Amino acid sequence: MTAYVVRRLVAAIPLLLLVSFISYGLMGLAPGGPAAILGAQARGLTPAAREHFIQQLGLDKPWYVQFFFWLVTLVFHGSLGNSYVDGRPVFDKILERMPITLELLGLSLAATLIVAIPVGVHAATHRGSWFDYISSALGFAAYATPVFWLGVVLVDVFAIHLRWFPTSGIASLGYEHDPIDRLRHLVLPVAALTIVSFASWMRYQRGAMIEALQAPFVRTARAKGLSERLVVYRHALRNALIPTVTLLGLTLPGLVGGAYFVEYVFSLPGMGLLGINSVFSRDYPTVMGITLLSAIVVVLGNLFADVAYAAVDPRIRYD
Amino acid sequence: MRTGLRRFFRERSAVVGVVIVSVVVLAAIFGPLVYGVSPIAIRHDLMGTPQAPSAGHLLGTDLLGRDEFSRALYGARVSLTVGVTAMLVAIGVGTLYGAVSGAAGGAVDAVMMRFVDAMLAFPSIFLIITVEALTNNFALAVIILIIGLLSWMSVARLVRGEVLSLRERDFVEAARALGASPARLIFRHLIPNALTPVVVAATLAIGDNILVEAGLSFLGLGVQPPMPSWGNMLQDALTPDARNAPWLVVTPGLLIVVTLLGFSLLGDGLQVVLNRSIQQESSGIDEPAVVLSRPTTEAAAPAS
Amino acid sequence: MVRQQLRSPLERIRAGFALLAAVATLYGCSAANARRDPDTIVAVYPSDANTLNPLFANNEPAFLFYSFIFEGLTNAIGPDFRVVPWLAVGWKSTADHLHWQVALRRGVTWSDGAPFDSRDVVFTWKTMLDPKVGFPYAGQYTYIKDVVAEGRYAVRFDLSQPNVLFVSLALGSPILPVHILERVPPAQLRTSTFGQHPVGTGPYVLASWHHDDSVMFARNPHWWHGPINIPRLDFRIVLNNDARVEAMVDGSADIYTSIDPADYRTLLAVAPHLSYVHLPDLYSRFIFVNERVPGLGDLAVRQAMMYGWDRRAVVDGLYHGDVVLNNGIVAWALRDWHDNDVPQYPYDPQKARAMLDAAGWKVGAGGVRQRGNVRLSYAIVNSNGDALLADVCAAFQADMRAIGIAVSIRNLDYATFIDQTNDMNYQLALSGWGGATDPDEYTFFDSSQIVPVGNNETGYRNARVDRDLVEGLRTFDQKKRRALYNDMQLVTGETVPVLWGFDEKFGAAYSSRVQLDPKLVLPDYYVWWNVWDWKLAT
Repeated sequence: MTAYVVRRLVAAIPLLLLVSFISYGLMGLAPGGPAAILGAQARGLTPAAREHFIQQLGLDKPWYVQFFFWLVTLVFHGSLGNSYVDGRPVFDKILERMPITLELLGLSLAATLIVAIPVGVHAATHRGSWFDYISSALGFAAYATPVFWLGVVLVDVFAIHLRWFPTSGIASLGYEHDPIDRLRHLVLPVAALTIVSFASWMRYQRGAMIEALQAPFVRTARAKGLSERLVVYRHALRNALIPTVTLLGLTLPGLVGGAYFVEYVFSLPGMGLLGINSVFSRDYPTVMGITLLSAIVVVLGNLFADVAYAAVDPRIRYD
Repeated sequence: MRTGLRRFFRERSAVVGVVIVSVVVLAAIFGPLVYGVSPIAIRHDLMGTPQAPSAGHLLGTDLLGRDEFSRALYGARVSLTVGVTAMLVAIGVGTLYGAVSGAAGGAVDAVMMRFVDAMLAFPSIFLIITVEALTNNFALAVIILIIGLLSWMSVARLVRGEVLSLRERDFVEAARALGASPARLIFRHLIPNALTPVVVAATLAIGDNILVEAGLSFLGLGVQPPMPSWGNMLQDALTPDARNAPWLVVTPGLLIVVTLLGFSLLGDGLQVVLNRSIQQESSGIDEPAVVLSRPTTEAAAPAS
Repeated sequence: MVRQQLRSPLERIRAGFALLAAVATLYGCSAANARRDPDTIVAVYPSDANTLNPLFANNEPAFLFYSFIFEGLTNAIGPDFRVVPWLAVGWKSTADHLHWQVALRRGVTWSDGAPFDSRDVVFTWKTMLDPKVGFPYAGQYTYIKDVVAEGRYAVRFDLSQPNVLFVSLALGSPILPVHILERVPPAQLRTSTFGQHPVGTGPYVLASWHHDDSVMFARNPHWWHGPINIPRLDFRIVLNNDARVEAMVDGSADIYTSIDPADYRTLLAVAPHLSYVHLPDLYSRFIFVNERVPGLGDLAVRQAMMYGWDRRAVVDGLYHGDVVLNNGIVAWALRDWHDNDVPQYPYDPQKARAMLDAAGWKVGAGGVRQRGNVRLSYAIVNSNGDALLADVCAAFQADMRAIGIAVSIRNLDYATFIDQTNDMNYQLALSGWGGATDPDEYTFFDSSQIVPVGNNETGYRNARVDRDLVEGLRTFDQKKRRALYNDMQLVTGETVPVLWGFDEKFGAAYSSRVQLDPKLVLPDYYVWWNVWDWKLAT
């Protein structure tokens, strides 16, 4: 198992290299370089100062040479470089933002599972019931909802009209260390992200459960006269969770993307907001750092799914 | 009895999908012709004070005094055009890529799939923003190309999976034994057989593409005004002045939701209808429509 | 908190993921403290500074925040931006205005206790003018040949040509501490930690900075100018408009400056208990016209566009009257210099069409006018992210269509927008201009300053304006100088180098905790210019 994980991690390295290479190339070709980085300063710039600035940031070299330097810095100095915008180390900037993104992802994943798995199981054990239809219809509708629109609507209804929750941000002024206040700020963003992502989990869980309920071992268990409760929750559910676990790896890229949109809508200062703003201000080192970290999260998510698959299903072994 | 009910419901949901999609498509094609109000005519006297829905303006007016219903109809054209054509691009590229990769097998397949993994590992939102900024051209064709070229990966995986399983089937073996060329194998045998899941994927992709366009517009990078798309109508509704005009927020959002719902139901229904594996269907596995491929990372496949 | 220095990248990554596990406990450890500090004034601000190093500040919060910490030799303060001695006590020049002797204030110390003297001034100027440093505004000071210390408390500036703005602009530049920065190689100043840990001579010192969250300033007890009333300024970065309004309404913030027009109206309606300031801003919105583009070089076309553009509808409708029409380059806020005795261009589409007809632009295919093979069909670029500006473009587009000019809209992301306008790679651009406290527009309008040399992004050329601008920079007599700039405003008003738009309005709201003299309030971030005189009600 350990050997397998190590092998997978090693295999991820060329993948991450490829990701970095492609995104560096794309950014290298994008217009609006140095002037955008200078922001308001760009207008005072003389051609000579501009040339000099470009040289200072290494932007006069072709993008693949810049990529090479970026890689060397990363490998030999363990550094993601410094932001073009404020000169601070990219790693520090990302580290500041990471807790909020992880919190958002973690909470909505937890909320999704808490809602989706019981609903999926119930729908499976009550196939054809009104509950099954309605949950399925709601699932379709939720899946069809754009997360940013949902965010805007939630803010309009629950923050502006009903005043139950704050409109945005992560803390009220003066309540920076109050966990309750922080949770209140996270309710709407987590709800938005959960609503749009629970459908796939629910439907997947339902399908897996239906399959498990018809598996021979469940029939055996029933034949042995075990109570239906025991059959469903001990035997069938355990097996039905296996395929669901793998969904984690598959939905992670979408979830991360959705989280970034949610951060944008709710002005949550997480990695997504930093990333979007960095793309707009052509802060390449920061964009690279976030792209790389997001890719790592996706790769680790896939790996986790596979390992979890083995952990819950004794039939699967990796060697 | 239960199975019968379920089947009935499933079919009915597919019917609902067909109805929704047809209505949207018909409205997009004929709506603007029937409803002869300009979507871009500005009313100077109504600027800044959006009008609520009324008999004169079925869905009210926006901040520039433009008729929202007319914009919704023209927006349907634009959004559907983006959805369908970007889907065609993605299906074309993805099918070809997946078929070649699956048919080639071995090292070529491995390398090609690593590239797909890399593309999938991107936070696609950055990728799209970057490419948009890169081309800096917001022509409809460019937006379609970008959305299409960044969404072919799942199709490629799907087709490759099908091709891998088909490769071992008897009729392909037979064709190969008869000396069919690889290209012929791909185009005459493998692709037609892999078509079923692709059709389902295509249906769902239309909805996804509409969503991506809306997301881009939300960030100000989508279809450019005054040409209305549901996405940029939504962006228009985000000014503080629109706070008192909820219909401006609700209209484009609901249109997107309903249309996506239509395509989801249709895709789901198609999957049931087209699913050639009767056994699988009767065993009750229903693949969630939103996760097209079962665990697809190479190593996730359980070692047997 | 989590911002400590970590050593190896592996450790950092591990620490990052450990955060995930610790997330539930991380924020639970410190007790809730919602009580307002009686010594702190809380301001809400929409964005954070990029750095507090004055050399590399590139956004408005950066300019504001460093102004609490750093000071120049002169300062332009008060309602008419009058220039007064600051870290200098006086100056005198030779008759040709080429050599200036500046006497420095004695007894000033840096906030770390080190004394301020001529070495700091010389170092600051050598640094700003050193190309290795990459100070973006160095180009404005090319006329400064040399800066020499004449003893510990006197400095001599040698100029290659006289410049009226020398005292206000050059001498107003923030002075940097040599004892800290001399150790930093010039090329590394940009990434130096000085930008996060600034040391200045000003009224406040940086107390703490949590990026994109809060910037806290504490008063400098040794400030040379005298005592400061308010002990602490806490700038809270609140990204969302509604949340800033909310904070003002519920009283968790004391002051909100540079409020968006729509939010200003909302706040005014829901929070009548607050005090408000509303004045013309230093910034104007114009539509830049690239005169190199065929058709746009024709004065008749530009003037017709002015008459055909219903600016009043934009001002009254989209802005609810919160902006002021402007017909010249000098903003209304510069009361001493603004001259309204210029052409006004009231909305008159009939006249616009007649002018185009008379100039030979005949309506052709698709209702678009053309002359020869030039069609009046252009793209207007706009920096996206602001739906209101997109609506301004859409309204402009409709107005132009009505007089036979086709306009397509391209909302670009800010970076590309700046790039295209800076390179004159555009046709029409909805852009902003302003912020200066002097009417000089040499780099914007002078024909020698067409990009890439200067900021003349429209390609405008007018010999009379050139003369006014050049003379204006070396005329030390205020009355003659005013006449020159009035002439400049008249000529540009007639010749339409940009389509004149409107001046934005500066809005601010503050609670009863803040006691300030509303008569002394200046627009923009200058609103804070006399913060040391403000009081905090108990």
